[in-house]
Amino acid sequence: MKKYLPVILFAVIILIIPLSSTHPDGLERVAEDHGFMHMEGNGIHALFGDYNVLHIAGPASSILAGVIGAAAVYLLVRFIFGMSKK
Amino acid sequence: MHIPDGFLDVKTAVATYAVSAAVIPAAMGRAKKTMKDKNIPFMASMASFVFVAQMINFPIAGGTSGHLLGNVLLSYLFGPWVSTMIMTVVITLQALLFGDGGITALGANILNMAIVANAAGYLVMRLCDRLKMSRNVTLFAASWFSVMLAALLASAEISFSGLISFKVAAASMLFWHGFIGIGEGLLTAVITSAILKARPDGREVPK
Repeated sequence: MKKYLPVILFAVIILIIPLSSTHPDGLERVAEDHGFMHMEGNGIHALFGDYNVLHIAGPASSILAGVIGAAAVYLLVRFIFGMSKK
Repeated sequence: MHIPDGFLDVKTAVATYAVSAAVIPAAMGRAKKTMKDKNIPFMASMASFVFVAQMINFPIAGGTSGHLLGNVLLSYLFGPWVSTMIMTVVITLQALLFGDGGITALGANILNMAIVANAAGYLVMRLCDRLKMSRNVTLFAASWFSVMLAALLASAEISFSGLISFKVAAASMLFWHGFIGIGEGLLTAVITSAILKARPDGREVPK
């Protein structure tokens, strides 16, 4: 059981992604309170902007974005550290 | 605390990019020396865990939210250099793929959340170790300070960019991040305990 704790933890946090608070974060709050939130630029059009996957509606969209991101991070970290193996 | 495009002026964006670009290769060199090759899959798993955890904003007081950064969790397990590298990967992918944090602000976001937050957390952790604090107190204190230092630096960048004065920026950023840091501290302590229960040998850093 203990061994599977991280796996369970991981599954739980992926499933609760849609419950993420939509309130502004600390920096956004400060930007709103002091009137510079409008300075935010559009920047690039990110493929999964706002952690959503195009054409998918509802909670599945952010969960899928989370899985895609987790996989991308996993592979990139393995690649970068793998390259520098002793 | 991800700074979006549009907040930083050119000089601040360029300066923060320059600092991050100078530190990251050096951190990679140190990470290479300190890491254990057999732990690479574990490091990568923890990296994706931190990525997903960062997606979950928890509400704090007054209609504001925050999320885990994860520096102390990672540096407790793998040391500060590996942690900086993992945080850099996470923040870069967030900007490139998910539009979280601006491309022009990427240097600043890496500096705040992967370098300075990480260094602050690690130094507080060392201090607590020396004072023989318990693991939970150590993790909580280090996490709280890591968030506060990153918030302080973000305030400096915002004010250098001419948006608001440093005094106003720092006061309001530190006020909200004082609460967010409590969340960071609690989550870091709980998650680290869970990980170490499953992998008692998970901590690869010598004290």
